[in-house]
Amino acid sequence: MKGGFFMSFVRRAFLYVTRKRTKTLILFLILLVISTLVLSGMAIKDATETAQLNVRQALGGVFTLEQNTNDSTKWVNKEVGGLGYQSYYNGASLTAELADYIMENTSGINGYNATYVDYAVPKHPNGEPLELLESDGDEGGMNALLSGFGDFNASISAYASTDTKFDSYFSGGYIELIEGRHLVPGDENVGIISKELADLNGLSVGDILTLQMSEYRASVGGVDYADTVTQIEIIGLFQSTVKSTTTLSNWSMDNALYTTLDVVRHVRPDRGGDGYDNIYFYVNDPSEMDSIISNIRSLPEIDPTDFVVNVDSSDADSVIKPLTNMNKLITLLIVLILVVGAVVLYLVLANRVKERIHESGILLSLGVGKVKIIGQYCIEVALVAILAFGLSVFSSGFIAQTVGNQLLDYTLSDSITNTETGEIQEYDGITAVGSDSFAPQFENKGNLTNIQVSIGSQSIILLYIVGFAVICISVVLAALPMLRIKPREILSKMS
Amino acid sequence: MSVLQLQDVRYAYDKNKKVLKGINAEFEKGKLYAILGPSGCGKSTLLSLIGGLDSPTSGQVCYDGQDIEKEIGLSGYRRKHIAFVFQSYNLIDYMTPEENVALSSNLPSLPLFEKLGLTKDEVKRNVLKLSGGQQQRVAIARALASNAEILLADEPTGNLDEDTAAGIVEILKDSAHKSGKCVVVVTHSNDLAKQADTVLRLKKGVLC
Repeated sequence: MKGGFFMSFVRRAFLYVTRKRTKTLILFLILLVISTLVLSGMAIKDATETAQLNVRQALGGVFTLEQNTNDSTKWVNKEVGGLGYQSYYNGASLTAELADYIMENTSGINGYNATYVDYAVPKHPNGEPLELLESDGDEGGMNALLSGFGDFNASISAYASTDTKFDSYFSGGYIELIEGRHLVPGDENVGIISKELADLNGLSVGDILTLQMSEYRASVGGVDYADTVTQIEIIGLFQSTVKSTTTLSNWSMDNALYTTLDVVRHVRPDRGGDGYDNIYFYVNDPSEMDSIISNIRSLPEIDPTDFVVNVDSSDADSVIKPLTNMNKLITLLIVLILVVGAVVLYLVLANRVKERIHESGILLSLGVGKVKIIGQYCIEVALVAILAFGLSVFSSGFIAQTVGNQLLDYTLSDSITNTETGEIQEYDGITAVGSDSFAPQFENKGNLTNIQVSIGSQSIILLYIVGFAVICISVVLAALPMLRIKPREILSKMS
Repeated sequence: MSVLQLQDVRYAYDKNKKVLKGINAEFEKGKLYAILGPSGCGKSTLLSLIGGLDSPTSGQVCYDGQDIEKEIGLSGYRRKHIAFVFQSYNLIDYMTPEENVALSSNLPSLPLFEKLGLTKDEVKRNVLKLSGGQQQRVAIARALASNAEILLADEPTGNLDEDTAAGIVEILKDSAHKSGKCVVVVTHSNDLAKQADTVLRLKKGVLC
């Protein structure tokens, strides 16, 4: 009796793959092309989904709490230095405590930043005003017109913030902290300025500067100018990542100061009210925005006659729309590639099995089971597929990045555009047409929709699982005729 | 005592084409059997039924009294008890002689090859680079290496020259007489048949 010893089907598969090199190479190339296309499609799909999430987080993952200024009974007039009256809203204030209350009673919020902006003059401790940076933008001659307003041209934008990490310019990537640390809740008499402004004035982290109301504004507002001076320790330096313009050069982003509300309020006692202008809340998952806002509106402390919650998703929607369309197209392409790839693979493998009917007959006559013969064919393709799929990680990385970049260009062409409302606005006594003309206007930021195409491990694992499944199914389907017929018929056919 | 028993074995391709019409025979170990007959009389079909490559339309093929299909299983029967030598050699073309033999045995094959007249170099070449006679020796080596009790050969010398054929016949005789195998050879060669211990003639679907 025979011992039943046989060369293992894995060894037979290895011998076939290494000895039939031309056939192996053809199969390798077919598998490489199919897997590269599939992996590229998956990578681009992942990239578009990531880009959508990035855009939602940058543009759509934020909502603001503002004072409801529609109630005219809550507006009061304040006399300004005997020159007339200034109206200001005297309703419930936006405070850090209110923001903390919302954070404690609402899940899904990552953090917040309460902001208030006003204008004041930064100085060295010796009282010498800081030298300010000139803006490259078109100022429409405003600075020249204001030259007669005393030290008004030395004033800068002073942003009061509770947590600059969540400031819209920082979180949007328009500016970035390059030295020191961010402002955090509890900070007192500290500030962050631009690196350029610091370098121009020989300042660095740890140095002291002062902030004081403009002498001109103090005289107009009847404020004791000397009482408004406040010391600030520089705790961080930022730099702009994209170009911005402002109507007034001295109010540009590069001259701006981030500090605390106490500092800004102390420097500008002429202003009414005591709270912040806005509180920006950042949610973890933009898709949960509606439920979060609904929850906040139901909180007892959030009286709709005092506060309003605003979400503006138009920017996010305009950027996401082409990405969504592209995502649908890529999904369709992946399905198409998978179907066509599976059919091509089946045809190739079916032909391969058919060509090897002779070999199958020999093995059957030796008593090798049909399952082991099919197993050998599967292992052969799997051995080639391991290499082809592995190489496709690199080839698809290159292809996906190239296509991804084109996708990025396409997306950016439909990106954000700033809108001018044409409304008349007043900032610190200066009136201009165009609602945003005094605030920094940033150029479109490229990395907002920057698509980083990479081949994720999940995609690779999925490729191997689906790939091997398609291979096994194709081989079994291709070998079905062989399974049905008897060994003698195979041997008769081959003879 | 017989190792193989054929009991009223019949085989038909269809109703009008009956090839075997009730074959009864017994085969013993240590003997060389030759099945003679004209082309198309069903010799190869009979060998396929004996070797478990096909099933009879009716009747039984038994190994040691056990039905090879119902009691042993055809695949297992072929793997454990049968070794084939075909006229067209039927070697795996991407393997060396050594590797072809390894398909049915894990025993060292070199002594066997040397016995069959193949050199060390030849057994490491691709089988397609060997002559017809050498390929048939490889096929026989694969059959002998398997250590099966039953060796079935279908026209083993059909494609070979006289000298080579004579050498192959000697090997088959030795397998029966010295190794104690049951060797069944299908042939239309009277010369080969003359050297068999028993000659069975297949005529009109029956053995006579």
